[in-house]
Amino acid sequence: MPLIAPRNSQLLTEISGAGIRDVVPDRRCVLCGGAALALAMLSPAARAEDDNPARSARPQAGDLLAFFEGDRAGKVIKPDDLKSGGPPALAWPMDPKSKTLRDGSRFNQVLLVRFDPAALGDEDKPRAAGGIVGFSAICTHAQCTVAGWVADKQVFQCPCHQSRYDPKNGARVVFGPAPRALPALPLKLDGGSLLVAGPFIGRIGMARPGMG
Amino acid sequence: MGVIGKGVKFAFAASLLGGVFTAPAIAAEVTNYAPVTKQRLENPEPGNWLLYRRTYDGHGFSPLKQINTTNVKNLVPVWTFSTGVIEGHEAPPMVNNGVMFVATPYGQVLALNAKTGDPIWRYKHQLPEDLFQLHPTSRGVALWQDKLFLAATDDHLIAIDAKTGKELWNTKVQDYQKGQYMTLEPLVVNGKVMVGGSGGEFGVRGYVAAFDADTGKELWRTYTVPAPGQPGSETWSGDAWKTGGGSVWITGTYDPKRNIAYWGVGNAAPWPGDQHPGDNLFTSSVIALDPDTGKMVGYHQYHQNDSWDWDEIDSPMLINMSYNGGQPFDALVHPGRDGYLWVLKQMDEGQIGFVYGKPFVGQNAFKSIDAKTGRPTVDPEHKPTTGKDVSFCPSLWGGKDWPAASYSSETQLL
Repeated sequence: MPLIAPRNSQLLTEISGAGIRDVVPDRRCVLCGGAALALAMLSPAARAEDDNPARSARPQAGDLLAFFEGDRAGKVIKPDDLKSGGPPALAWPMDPKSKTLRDGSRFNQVLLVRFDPAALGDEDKPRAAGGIVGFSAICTHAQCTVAGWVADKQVFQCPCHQSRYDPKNGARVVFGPAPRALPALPLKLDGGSLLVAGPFIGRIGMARPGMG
Repeated sequence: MGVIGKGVKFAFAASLLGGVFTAPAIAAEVTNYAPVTKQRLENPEPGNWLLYRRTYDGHGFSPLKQINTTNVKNLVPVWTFSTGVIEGHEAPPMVNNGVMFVATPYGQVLALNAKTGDPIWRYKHQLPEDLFQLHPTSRGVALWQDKLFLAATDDHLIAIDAKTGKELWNTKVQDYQKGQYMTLEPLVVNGKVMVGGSGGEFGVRGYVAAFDADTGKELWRTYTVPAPGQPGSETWSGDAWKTGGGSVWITGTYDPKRNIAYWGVGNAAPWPGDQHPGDNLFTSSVIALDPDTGKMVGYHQYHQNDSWDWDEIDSPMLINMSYNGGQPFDALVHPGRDGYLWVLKQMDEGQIGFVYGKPFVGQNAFKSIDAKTGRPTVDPEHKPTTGKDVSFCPSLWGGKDWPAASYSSETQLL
């Protein structure tokens, strides 16, 4: 499966529809390479060691959303920044009062993608804002950032073990080893701004047997 | 005791199951712990396992003779111990005079009575919630004096009291949120604890770093991908070096005679080489470091512009051998991920000479190698390129992946 470098400010890697070779699921990371995942692991802002609680607080109602990387890193995402049908944008939530990016934990990474509202599933419609839906970007398999996008199927794909999630159907798993859907992040529009409407629904990341 | 099967008896020691990791640590101490000294590491007792591959030369060879080819079929299990951690365990049990130390995935270390399997103490390192868990494993704790050293997946290097399991110091080596992590067993030489960083799958810049065994203070850090201006930087263009890969994720080997530590270096990142044109030193190489200063005193790059995810992280074995009837010499022997068996030569000042290379599996990526330097000539048909479907042999898993090879000086077989 070829990996295509992201264009300009576009973080997410488009994966060609040329087909996926059968990969035996394995703990090793198969085809994890690629600039997309590399960039998803790095934060453009230098991560300070301070314990500013606003940075590690989870996204909450009223938060804005800001681009994770690219030439607009840190800038607030407006609805028109997202094209209907994808590709998605990776975002940090932002505290609306102090404009602090909530980048203290990778668990705060958010995937945003826009569709025609009529195309959304019944569970996604009430959580969407102008056709834009939001989900946790942390793969429920091994907690990599789900930085890939399969354009011809309009699904997220995790670069680590190729788990795929369908954003028009509650980001449920449609391929690969991930055990659970990505938690949804309800969104709303308020006077033209894209805002978080409520906290993530469900547990972020993987179940952790043996971590205690 | 139970009897299972045809007269085969099993004796079980205490078997701990389920949620032990939430129970309080077993409060006991090792008595009469034998400190692990330089002398013992350079000439370990045959019945102990004090280093990743038992000896600094990386042979992984045991001279013990009590179990042999005639009686191995009569072995019966004596004890089992369930760690309670549900994940693949990859650490060799380290053994020092009857005490066994087991590093588990997710940051635990257990001390067991090697004879009975009874637990002595359990140490648990708390991992952050948002740590990615690609390889949550550990490949063992290192031993030095009365301490153990754990390189944890959240990039913390931790010193543990071998007698009590108490944490003595805890140093942050790298920011795990950047995509680096550590799974290797550290290499300790003369009170310097050396580690490397994993994460070549992500956009990282590999390194080997050394820490003071007593204080945890960082002594030096040598990057495997040079910054502009540093030697080897001419083999990179633009900003590719910043995320060039070159992670070092398997324990190095060490020559006490010359005081040189050899470390294998991983793949260049990202995978297709056209994303980072150039030879890309020192990815897919062996590097020779002075353990006192971290200075790179030599290197050999097995193959250039890696595009196959062929990490050459397994450190070479140090073998004294002769080749083609020539004089015996100190060789560095490396069965490569790239499918070639590489034989190199140690030079006294640290440089590394080339002796020969020969494929040990079907290999179609290299058309030939230079007889003098070992430099492969690559077949472009079998070199991955961005946007193109390419097949190549061996696969990305390589002719040989990270599990170590071993060598018997008795049979002179690899």
